[in-house]
Amino acid sequence: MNAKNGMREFFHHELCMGTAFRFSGHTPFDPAKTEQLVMQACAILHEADRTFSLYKPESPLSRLARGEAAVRDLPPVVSDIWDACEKWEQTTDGWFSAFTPEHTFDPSGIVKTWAAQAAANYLVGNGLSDITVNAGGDIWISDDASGEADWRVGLHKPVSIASTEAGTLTVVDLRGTPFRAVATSGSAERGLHIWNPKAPDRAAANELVQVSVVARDLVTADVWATAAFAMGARAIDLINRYNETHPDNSIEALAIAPEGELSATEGFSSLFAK
Amino acid sequence: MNRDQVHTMMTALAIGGSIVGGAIITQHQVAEHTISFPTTTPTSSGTPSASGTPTSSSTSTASGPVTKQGDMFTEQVFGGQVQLSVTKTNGVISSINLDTASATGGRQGAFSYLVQAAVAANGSNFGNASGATYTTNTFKQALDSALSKF
Repeated sequence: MNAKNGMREFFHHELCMGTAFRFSGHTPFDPAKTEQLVMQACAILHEADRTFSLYKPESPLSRLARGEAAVRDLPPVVSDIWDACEKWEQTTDGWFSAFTPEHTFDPSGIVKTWAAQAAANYLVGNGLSDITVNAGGDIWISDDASGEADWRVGLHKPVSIASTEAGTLTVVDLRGTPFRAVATSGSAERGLHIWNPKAPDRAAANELVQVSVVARDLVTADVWATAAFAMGARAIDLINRYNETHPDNSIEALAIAPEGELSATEGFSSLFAK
Repeated sequence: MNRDQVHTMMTALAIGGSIVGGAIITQHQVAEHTISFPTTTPTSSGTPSASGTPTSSSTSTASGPVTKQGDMFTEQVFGGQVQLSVTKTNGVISSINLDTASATGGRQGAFSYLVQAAVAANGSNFGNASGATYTTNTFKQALDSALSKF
C-alpha cells in the first residue's frame, strides 16, 4: 500500500476491443471494493464492444450493417453515437467520417475513447481520484491528478511498441493547460488503416506516419487525430485555421511525415515538458 | 532473409540563422535489427474497430538480431548540431531518433526549433505514453519484454 492521505494506489489493465486499456489512480476503498468498481468500469467497455463491434455478427451494429434493423430499433446508445459521429463530421469539415467506403456505419473511430471516457467518469463519480487512462495509446488525465508525472505524457516514436526501437520521441506536459487528453493516430501498429474520406476512392491516407493531438477531452483528441491523419500534409495548416475560429475548443497537433520531418500547430511548442 | 534498405536521414539544426547548403552523402551502414511490418488494408475511417482487427495479421514481428547492410543517406539541410535520424525498413520507419549531442542556442527556423524543443522535452519523466492504437498482441509482447512504458 502506497498511502497518500489514507488512499491506496491502484492500476488495472483490461483487454477489450482488440487493444489494452489501463486505468490508474488512488482509491479510498479496500482492494475488494476497488476491484469491484474497476470491474464495473470495464463492464462499460465490454458493453460498448458488444454493441458496436462489426466483428461480432450478432451485435446491434452488425444487424444495422446487414439491414436487419434500423437505428430506431436498436439501443438508444446507437442513436447517440450516430448523432455524435454526424456532429464530428461537421466539426472536422468532413475529414472524420463514420461511414466506410462501402457506406457501412462504422463508428469504431470514436467508440473506444467514448467508452474509455465513460469508464473513467464512472471511477471519478464513485470516489476514485488521480485517474489516468490509457485507452490503447490514447491518454486521459483527470482534473485532480496530483502526480507531476501524471500530467506528462510521452509521445511514442512512430514504431510499434513491440519493436526493439520502441520508445518516446518527446514528452508533453499538460499541467496548467485546459487540455486533459492526448491521442495518436499512425501506421506503426495497424498499417494504413485510416482512409481519406475526401479522396475520390476513399484511399488510405498515407501522407503522414503519425500525428498526436492534444485536446480538452479524450473523444475530441481521438477524432481530431484520425481526421488529421486523413488530412495528411495539410493537417497542421487546417488545424491552425480551425483554432483561429474556435479558440475555446482549440487543439494542438504534432505530425510526423514519412521522412521524419516534424510539424506542429502554433501552440504546440508551449506544451513540451520542461 | 530479404535485404532491406536502411535509410538514415539526418537533419541538422540551423544555428544563428545561417543556413548551409544541402549535400547528400551516401555511405554504408550496418543495422543490428530488422523489423517486418505486414501491411493491412484500410478497414476503418476511425482508429481500430470496436472489436479489434484480427491481431495475428497486424502484429509487427521482431525477427531477432539480424545484421543488415544498406545505404545511409545523410542529408545536411542546415548547419548545426541537432540531428534527426530516421531508419526505414521496407519503406516503413523502424527507428527515429533525435540526437542532442551538441545542441546550442541561437536563432532557429521553425522546423529546427521544433526538433530542438522535442529533444529537450524527451528526458522528462512521464506517467503515460500516447501512440498509434496497439493490438492486444503487441501490447502483450511489449509488456513481456518491458520495452515500453504504459
